[in-house]
Parts: sequence; C-alpha cells; structure tokens
Amino acid sequence: MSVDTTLRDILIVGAGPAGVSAALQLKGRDVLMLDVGFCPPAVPTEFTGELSQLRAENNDLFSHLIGEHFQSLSNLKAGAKGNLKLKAPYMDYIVRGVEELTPIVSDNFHGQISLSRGGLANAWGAGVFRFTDQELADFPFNYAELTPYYDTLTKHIGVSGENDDLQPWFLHDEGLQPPIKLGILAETILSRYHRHRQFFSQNRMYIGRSRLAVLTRELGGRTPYRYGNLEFFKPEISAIYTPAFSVEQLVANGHLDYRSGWLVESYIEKDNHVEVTARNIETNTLKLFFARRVLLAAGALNTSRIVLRSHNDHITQLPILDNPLTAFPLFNLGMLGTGPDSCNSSLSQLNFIFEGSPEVGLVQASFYGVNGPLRADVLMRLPLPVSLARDFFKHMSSCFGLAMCFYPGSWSPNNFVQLKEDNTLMVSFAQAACGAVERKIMRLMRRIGYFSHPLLIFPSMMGSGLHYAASLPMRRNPKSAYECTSEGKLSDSNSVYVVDGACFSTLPAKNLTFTIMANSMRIANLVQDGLA
Amino acid sequence: MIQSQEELIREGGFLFRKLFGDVAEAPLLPLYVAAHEALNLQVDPRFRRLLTVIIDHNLDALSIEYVLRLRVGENLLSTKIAILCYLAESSNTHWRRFWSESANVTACLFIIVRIFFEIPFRYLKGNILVRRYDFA
Repeated sequence: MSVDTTLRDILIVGAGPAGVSAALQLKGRDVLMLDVGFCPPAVPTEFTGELSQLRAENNDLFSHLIGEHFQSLSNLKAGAKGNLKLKAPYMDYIVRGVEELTPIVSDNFHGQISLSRGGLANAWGAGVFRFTDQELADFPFNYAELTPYYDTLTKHIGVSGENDDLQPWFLHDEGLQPPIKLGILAETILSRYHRHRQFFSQNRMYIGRSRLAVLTRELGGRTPYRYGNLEFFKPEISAIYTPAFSVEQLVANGHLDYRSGWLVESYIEKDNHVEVTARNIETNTLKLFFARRVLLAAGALNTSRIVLRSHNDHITQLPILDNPLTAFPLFNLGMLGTGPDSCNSSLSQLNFIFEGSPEVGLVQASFYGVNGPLRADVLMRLPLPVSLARDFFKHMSSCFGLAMCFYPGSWSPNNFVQLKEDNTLMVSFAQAACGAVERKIMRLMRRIGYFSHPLLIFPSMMGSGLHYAASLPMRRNPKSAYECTSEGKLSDSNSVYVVDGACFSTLPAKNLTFTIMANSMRIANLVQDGLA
Repeated sequence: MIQSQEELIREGGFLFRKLFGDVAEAPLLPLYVAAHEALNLQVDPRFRRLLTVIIDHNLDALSIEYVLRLRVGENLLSTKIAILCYLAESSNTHWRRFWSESANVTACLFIIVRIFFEIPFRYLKGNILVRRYDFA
C-alpha cells in the first residue's frame, strides 16, 4: 500500500451535492476531495437544440438516443432497474462501475447509486426545496440555522421559481430567478386552480410553480434554459445545475485538490488525524491518505458502507429511508387534438402540496409533461395493446401530464442496510402502501377539469425515488456509534463527519438534495471553526 | 438458447409487419439482430416454440403479447416488440409513427373509440389464441 504523507486539513469523500457544497464552504482551506468521478462522454456537437426539431430535420438519432452499444435498451435486460434517465448513451456513465466497485445485493431494492462526478444529481429533477421548521422538527437544528446556507446556495447554483401559494411549504426566497415557461396543460391547471383556490385550500391542497435549480437567466457563464427537451439524453446541460459544475469551478480557482479515480473504502482514526484507505480503480492498488478531519459525502448508501467497513461490522443493520413514489396521469379532455405543446421540457412545471392525514403527513407531487422519455420506454407500461398504446401516446400526449407523488420516508424494521462479509451492501426495503392520497388529489383535480382513475396509479418499486437517507441520523443525544451529533460528527468519533443524506434525522416528502447541500455547508462551517 | 441470425431476421420482419403494417427497411433488421446480441437475449425451448407457431401460422402477435403481459407481466415477446419500437422510434424514417407534429382532433376521437373496441377485441382474440395453441 502506498502512502500520501501530506496531512490535509480536510478530506472530502465524494463529489456529489453534499461533498461539493462542503467544499464550497471550505474555500481557503487545504481540502482534498477523493472521488471515483466518472465523467460524461463527449457529446457530438450536432446533438444540440430541440429534440423534436432534430427529429423533424430528418436526423438519424440512433447513436444519440439508443447508442452504438444499445445502451438505451438496458432496461430490457432481466432484472434491470430501469431508471429512464440513467440509460441513454451519454447518460449511462452516471451509474457506470457500480456493480463492480460498490455492489449491492437486494431482493426488493430497485434503486441506484452513482460513482460519477456530481453523483446522482447528474440526473436529478432539479427540484429545490427548503425544509420548514415542521419538517426539521426531528433534526437537531431549525430552519433559521440553515437559512444562510440555503440563501448562499440559491445565489451560487441559480434557482428559478416564484414565491406563490406554496410559500408556506417552500418558504420565502429572495433570490429566485423567474420560473420556467409553462406548457399549456400546466398553465391551465394553474389558472383554474387560482379560480378555485378556496375549494382547494378547504381540502388542504395547494398548487404552485416548481422551484428548480434551472437557470432562466445567465449566471456565472452558464446559459439560461433553452427548452430542448434533452434532459433524458444529454448530460451537463448548462442551465441545469449539477455539482460537477462547482467541482470544475473550485478546481479552476485553486480552491480544491480534486482527485478522481479513487474509491474510498475505510478509515481509521488516530490521535490527531484520520487515515483514509482508498483504492485506485485503474491500478486496483490501495493508498493511504491523511487528514485532520474527514467528511463523508459518498451518498447515503456508500457512506453507510464506508462507516460499517471501518467498524468491521457485518452484523449491524442500519436503518434507511427513501420516499415512496407513485405516478398517475391527469387528463384534460378539453385539450384533445391541440397538437404538440410548444413548451418542450421534461422538467417539473408545477408542484402540488397535499396535507394528508397525520399518519401520512405532507405529500408532495410534481407535475410533468409526457414528452421527456422515449415513447418505447413507456408503451408497455400502459394496460393497452402495444399498437394502441403507441397511437395513444402519439395523438393524446397533448391532453395529459404525469403527477409524481412523493411520500415522507417512514421507519420500518424491514428497511435496512447491512455489510456482508464480502463487503457487498445488502439493502432491504419494504414496499410502502400508497394510493389514498392520489385518490383524493384525483377527486380534487376533477373540479378543474382534470381526470384520472385509481387503476392508473403506478406505484414505483422502493428505491426508485433515489432519495436515500437517515442511515446514520443526527440526534440531539446520540445513543449509538452509528448516530451523529448535531454537528454531523459520528458520535464515537473525534474527526469523522457525515454530510450527505445519511445524517438526516427524518425524510420529509420534499426532495432532500437542496437541504443536503445546505446542511453540508452548515457542518463544513462548524468543522472549519473547530479547526481554527 | 441463442437464436440464429436468420431466425431473428425472419422474426423481426414478421413482428415489424404486425406492429406497423409495413415491411421493415434494410438497416432495421440487422440492428434488431445486433440488439439481441448486445442484450444477450436467450429464449427457452417453450418460448421458441411459441414464436415459431406465431410466425408459421401468421397469428396476431400483438394480441397474444397483450394477453400474456396482462397475465404474467412483460415477457420475452414484449421485449422483442419493445426492441423494434426503440429502433423504429430513433430512426429518421419511422419516428413519425410515435410522435405527432400537428393537431389532429379526428385521430384523438378515433383513439377513444379504439380504446372501447380494440381492448376487448384484442383481449378476447389473444385469449383464444393463447388457449388454442397452448401458450399459457
């Protein structure tokens, strides 16, 4: 095993949203970031513009949409996990190498992890949500403590949206760019909702514009969103934030020593430093790195793996949460035959907030158009003969959109991660029962002319929400070695901090990424103060 | 069991005709064969028999696939049809079979009518074929 003898101030493991946000906060410190860091392939320049235009210009899009190695067909393989955003030929780098380098075994987990530079945020929906005090009730800090970091991030990454009816749940944000353009369906929902606001509020449902890490104005050299509808096929679209952009910026400005090709396996704490063992994925050799503080930001699953492996623990089952997820279409038959929507985007256009029963809690839904993925991706999902499904999508797509419903994560003894003897990670998730809230939303949407049917509710397999959290939760009074203090430090440690979703105390229904980033900055700030 | 190239070309041409009512043009069928290689798709003897019977008797593959999908979920026939859809959708000659460029109220109304008639028709036909040829 070789040794890098330099003692760093801080070593960050992983270059996803958490790691990069910590690095942003630690500018000026001696920071080393170790990451596997797979990068996107070069995308040919002709694959730019707007997808329907590219089709209409008679381009053969086989190599861009399917790939010379038929990458886009990978969801047809037996046992494929089938996230539609992670299989296109220029996008599959996001989940490259996972099976060999960080294997997971599970009978009931259909999730993904990423070893790419930027992590799973390379394929995120870019939804940006601040957590309210109510949602942070189990966390050992409140909204006021996160606010400065949320504000800093809003300025850094660029967030578009509006302070509208959803403000009580999304909270006021001064720094928003104007929201993205709405498609006709979303525009109709919003205008009709405004006319029936009282009815909806009596039924505790609220609708407003999505807040997205998507630029509608130029920011730091990044260009505004161009409505190309290429989100499923093209990586690192300038307008849509990915942490990979910040890595480039930090490295270019000399604020970060970023080393890709390194998979961190474990750490050992010494008196005044931590020894981190990482594997070079090219040479398959191990190397020791030294740092005064270590921030684990490898994503909840891989961070759990590193912690368990460092404790040489193959027995403990750590808890794990994910947002149960369902999808259902909403039809507006008044839009029959209106033709393709001029707003070409696969981004979430609206959010619905539904205050469910106390047992369910607050449920969040995002409303999308249906022109994002390939039609071939979705034909078999409809309970129709395939030729009818094809024509249905072809002619009816203008009159329906898709609501994706996210539930809060809930604790269960059946949801856990455990390190096996061969260091593969066993993940278990019990399928959550969903459907009641969707039925209520369907009933309410009928009032404004949008229809659906409970038979059309598609529950997703657990893990497909990609929002894994709370395996090493922060507690006010941590009781085990696998809980963190309010500073994000593992309770049995002096120098190892967890800054990704693993340290979440609970998992609300709203997408966690923005709060992971803000909390990571908060912890990094505390670490910095400690070092000073 | 891996299918031969000739077998796949014959099968791809047949399924394409059933799907689109048209003859598959030259580059599509070699891609269909290559996709099977890339996915390492293998068929068991029972399924191979099913495919052979469907093609030899010129049966309604789409109705059979529909019924099998409803009964047991997506199956190898679904996968083969899906491959053809992926290849057709990404080609510059067939994408219009999946994407509409203009408003068409008549087509929409026709789809609604088809939903009410085609689903029971295909379901019934598929069930009869599955039973008659023992595909279950």
